[in-house]
Amino acid sequence: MLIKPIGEDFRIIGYYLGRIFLVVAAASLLPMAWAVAGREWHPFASFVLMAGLFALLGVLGLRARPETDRLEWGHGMVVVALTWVIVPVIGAVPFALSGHWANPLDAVFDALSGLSTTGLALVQDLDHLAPSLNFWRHLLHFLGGQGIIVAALSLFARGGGITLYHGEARDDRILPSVTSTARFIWAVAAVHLIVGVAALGLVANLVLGFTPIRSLFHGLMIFFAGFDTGGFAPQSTSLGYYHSAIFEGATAVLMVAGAMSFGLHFALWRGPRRAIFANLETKTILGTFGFTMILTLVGLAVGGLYTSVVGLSRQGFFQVLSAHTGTGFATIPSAELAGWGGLAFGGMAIAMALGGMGSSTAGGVKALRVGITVKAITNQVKAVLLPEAAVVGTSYYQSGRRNLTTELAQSAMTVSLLYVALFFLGAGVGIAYGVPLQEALFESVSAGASVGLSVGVTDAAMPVLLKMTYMFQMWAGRLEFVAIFALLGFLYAWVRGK
Amino acid sequence: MIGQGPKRHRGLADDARGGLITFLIEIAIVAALALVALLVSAVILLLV
Amino acid sequence: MRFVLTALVFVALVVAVPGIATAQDDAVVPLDALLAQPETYSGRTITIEGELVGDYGFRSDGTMWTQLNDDSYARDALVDGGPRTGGNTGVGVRMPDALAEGLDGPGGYRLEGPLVRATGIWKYHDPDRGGESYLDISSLDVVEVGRQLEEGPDWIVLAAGIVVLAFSLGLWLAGRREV
Repeated sequence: MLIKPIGEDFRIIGYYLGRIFLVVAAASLLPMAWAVAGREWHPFASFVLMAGLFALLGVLGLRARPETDRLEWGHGMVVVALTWVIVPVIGAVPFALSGHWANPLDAVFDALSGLSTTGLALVQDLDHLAPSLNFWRHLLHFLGGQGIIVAALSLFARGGGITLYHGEARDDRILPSVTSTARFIWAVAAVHLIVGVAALGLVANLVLGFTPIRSLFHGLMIFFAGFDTGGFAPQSTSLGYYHSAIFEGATAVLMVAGAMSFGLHFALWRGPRRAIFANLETKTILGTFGFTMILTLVGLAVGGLYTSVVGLSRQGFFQVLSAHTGTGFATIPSAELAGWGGLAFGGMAIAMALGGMGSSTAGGVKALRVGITVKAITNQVKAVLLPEAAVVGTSYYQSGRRNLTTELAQSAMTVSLLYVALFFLGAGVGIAYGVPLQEALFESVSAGASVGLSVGVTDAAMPVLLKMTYMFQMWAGRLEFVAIFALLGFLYAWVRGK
Repeated sequence: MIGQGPKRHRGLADDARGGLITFLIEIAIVAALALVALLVSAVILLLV
Repeated sequence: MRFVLTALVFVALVVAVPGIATAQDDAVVPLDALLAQPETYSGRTITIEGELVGDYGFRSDGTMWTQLNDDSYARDALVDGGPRTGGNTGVGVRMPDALAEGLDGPGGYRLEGPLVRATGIWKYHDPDRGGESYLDISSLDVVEVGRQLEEGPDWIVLAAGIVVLAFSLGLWLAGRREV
C-alpha cells in the first residue's frame, strides 16, 4: 500500500534543496566576477538575476525547517532528481538572455548538457560568445562532475550525507564519513586543476603561440571539460581547433583522470597501488578500451580514411578515448564523424555505451557493471558446461575479494538493460523524425551515456520532442535511473497514496 | 586495532608524493595506450 | 592560310584553357560544401572567404594558425541584431607569419575579425600532420577590416536581479530573527 507523503516529507525535501541551491548561488559569483573583470555588462546582469533566483529558492527551502534533519532514502533520491531539474532551468537564465540560444528550451538543453557532463550543444555563434558565458558553460561541467551534492556535503557537515551521495550515482565511500570523502574528491579536483591548467596553458602559450591570457582561458576551459569528461569547448571546432598532438596528449591525461573512479584516485594517492590492476573494474575498462579501439582503427583503415600510421593512430586513439571516457571532444567535424561507418561506427558506439568507471564523472553503463555482468554470465555458462560436482567461483576482486551474489549480478544487469532501453528510446524518436538509423543510434547513445559527440543530429533546428528526449536521456543517464524512479514513485504516492 | 602498530600521521609531504605518483601513472596510462594504438595501426595498415 | 589560322586558334586555346582552369580554382568554395565532401578537394588549390576568429597562434616553425568561419555571423553579428542561423561553420587555416602581419585581431565577443579571402592547398587528413585537415594558405587578401562592436548592459535584468537578491537577503534575515 502506497503511503501518501505528508507535510514533513515536503519540508525535508525543501530544506535539503535549499541548502543545495545556496551552494549554486555561491558558485554563481564566479562567472559574475569574470563578467566584471571583462566588463561584460550584459552577461553580468543575467548572472546577478540567476544568483538572485538561486538565493531566493535557497532561502525559501531553508525556511521549511523540518522537525528532523534525518534524510530518509526516498527523500534523498527525490532531492537529487529535483536538483538536476531545477538547477539547469535557473542556470539557463544567462544563456536565454544572451541571444545565442533560439529559445528557453535550447538554453535549458545546454545547461542540462553542461551539468550532466554530456556536452551536446545548441548554442549558436559560439565563436562570438562572451567569455564569462563560456566560463559558465564549462563551470556547469565542474559543478555537475564534482557533484553539487558533494559540494553541499563538504560544506554542510550535518545530516543527509550518505543518501544524497548515493543518489548522485556514487558508490565509493573511500573515507570514514561521506563529508571527508567529499572533501577528498574536492582535493583531487583542486590538484588536477592547478597542474592541468598549468600544463595546458603552457602548451597553449609555448607551443601553440597563444597570448598568455588566452592560454589561461583555453587551459581552464579545456580542464573543466576534460577532467569532468564534459566535452564543451570554447570554440566551435572543439579540440580540432588546437591542431596539436601535444595539446591532445595533455587533454587525454585529464580525460583518463576524469574517467577513473575516485576510489581509484584514493588508492593511487594513498596506496595500496598494486591492487589497482588486479581490480575487476580496471581490467574490464582496459579490455573494452582495447577492443573498441581496435574495432575503430580497423574500420577507419578499411574505409581508407587515414593512410598514415601516425594519422590513423592519433585520430583513432583520441576519438575512442573521448568516446569511452564519455568526454566528447572531437578533433574532426560532425559531418566527418557521421561518415565513420561500419566497424568504426561500431567501435565508437560501443565505447560510448560502455562508459567509464563508476563514481567518476563519466557516463554509460560503467566498467564495474560490465565486468560483473560478464563474470556472472561466464559463471552461468561454466556451471552449465562443467560437471555438477564442480565448484564455480562466485567472487571477484575489487579492492579486496568480494562476493558475486545473485542480487549484485541482477542489479548490474538491470541497470545495463535500462541503459540499453534508454539508447533505443532516443534512437526510436530520432528515426521517427527521419534521422537515418546509424545517426539516430549514435546520437542517442551519446546523449544517454553523457558523451556529447555528435554526428550533426543535435542542432538548433531539430524537433522539440527530440530535444526533450535527449534532455530526458541526459538526466536519466547521469543519475543512473534510481533517483528518477524514486521521484516518479514519490509523485505517484502523492497522487494515489493513502 | 591490535597488531597494527601506531597509526602513521599523513603529512603534506606524503600527500604531495601521492599526488605526483598519481599524475605519473595517469601519464603512463595514456602513453601506453597511445603506443598500443601506434603498433596496432601499423599492423592494420600493413594488412589492409 | 587555313593552316596558319588553325595554328593560331590552337595556340590561343592552349593559352586560354589553363587560364579558365585558374579562374575556376579562384571561385570561392563555401565551407559547407568543403566540409560536406572534404576528400574531393584534397590536394587542390582552393579559395575560401570568411572571418578569422578565436586566436592567432604564432608557432616556432614560422607559421600562424587560426580558424576561418564563413557563416552569416562573419558579416551579421548577433550583438548587432543579426539573425541566428545555427552553429558556426569554420575550418582551421595555416599561413606563413608574414601574411599575418598587420591583420586586425581575430573575431570574438564584441569583435568582428577581419574578413579575408584566402587561397591555398586544402590538406585533408595530412599524413605530415598526423591526419589533420586544414587549408595551407599561400595568399591572403583582406576584404574588410575587423570591427569593434557594442553590447550594453540590460538594466531591466540587472534591476530584477538586484531586487530578487535583496528580497532573498531580507527573507533570510527575517528567518534568523524568527528562530
